[in-house]
Amino acid sequence: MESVHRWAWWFAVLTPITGGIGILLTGTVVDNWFLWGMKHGIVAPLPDMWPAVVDPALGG
Amino acid sequence: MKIWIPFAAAGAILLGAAMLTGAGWDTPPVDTDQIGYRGTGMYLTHDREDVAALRAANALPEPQYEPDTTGDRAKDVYENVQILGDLSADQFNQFMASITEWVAPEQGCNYCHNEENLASDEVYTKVVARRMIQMTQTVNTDWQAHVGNVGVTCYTCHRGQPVPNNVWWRDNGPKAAGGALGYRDGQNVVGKFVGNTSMPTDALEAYLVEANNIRVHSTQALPDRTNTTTTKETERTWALMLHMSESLGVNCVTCHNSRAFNDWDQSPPQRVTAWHGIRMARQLNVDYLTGLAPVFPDNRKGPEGDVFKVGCGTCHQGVQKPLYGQTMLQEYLDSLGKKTNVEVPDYSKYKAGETKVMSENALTPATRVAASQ
Repeated sequence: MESVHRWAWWFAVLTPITGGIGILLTGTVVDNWFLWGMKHGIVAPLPDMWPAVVDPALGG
Repeated sequence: MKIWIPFAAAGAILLGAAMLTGAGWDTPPVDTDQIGYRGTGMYLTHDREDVAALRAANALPEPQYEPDTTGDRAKDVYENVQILGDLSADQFNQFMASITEWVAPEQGCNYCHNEENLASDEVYTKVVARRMIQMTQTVNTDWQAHVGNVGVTCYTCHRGQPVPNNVWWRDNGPKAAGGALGYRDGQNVVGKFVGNTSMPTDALEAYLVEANNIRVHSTQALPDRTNTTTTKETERTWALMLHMSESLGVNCVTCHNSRAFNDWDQSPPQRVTAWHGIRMARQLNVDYLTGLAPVFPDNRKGPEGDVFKVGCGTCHQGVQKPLYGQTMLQEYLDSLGKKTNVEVPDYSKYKAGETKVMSENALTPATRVAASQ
């Protein structure tokens, strides 16, 4: 199996394993991955593209 | 030659042909617009062939003649004019010509009118059309947060069809097999109204008639048991979002930031417009369409016996701005741009073929005569 299939085999095996880990963690250990990223300082500080947008459900 | 090679080659060719022709993929060239900050994947794609076809399909109809706004009012000239009585007679006639072209160009005046007595309400479509004119007035006055000054006319939805193309009705999915395993809660079959996905088929009713909560995201990084929404509710929200996406021919990042779909502070302004649009569709369905249930005959109802309702695609028809943002309202401001009569008749009393005047309170020559007798 000395070919591209060595890579493909690992890809096929690891994809469901990593995906499964993600599914198991979501909702049990982490509820909102963006806010989790904020908490751990890994979210890129992007400029505010649309400062006028506010949640219309807030009323007003 | 090994025996498997021709089989594998034939299989590959068949699979390749099926992928190219069956999957509905866009062939190049596809244009890409960046709408967000670099690196966030905020791109809108447009297939040039699709855009050309949509542009052709969303051309405006030929404008009608310019009506004379002076002269006698329609309510004094004609009988039983309940909504548009303050138009001039010429404006009224021009509007009738327009609505015929917009809604029933092949069927003509008699689609709504009894040709023996144009004032009579005995054809059910006339009663419906009157209510739809009120609905259009409401959209143009109360829902500017969604339609802006572009507004809507009958043509925005109807496009020359008596029943608009993209209406929806209650879809409970095909009847399931018996037993506990047979209950699929509207899922795992192709849902026509949820973007041809296997999401819950009845999702639109939950949001565009009932006012269920659309927001399912957690607002905390870690689970603290404050978010009690279930996977099923999430799928229903997703189904609504797919309906919107399919209806407007756009992708998720038109309204949402790719990295935090729930965060309003990072969302494009289109999301605010869409938020109002969901509420608008809900009001139109609740206040206008379901109320007409006693008037519609069975062939104008869905298989579950509910009336046809509006969704996002009813106006949008695959385009982000209906008719590519071209306005037709400006020529019809007197008829469709303001509320002229908000009275709601009692539709449960309507009898097709018998009811001559729908409203008792309509101050028109016909009812004035009837009241004096």
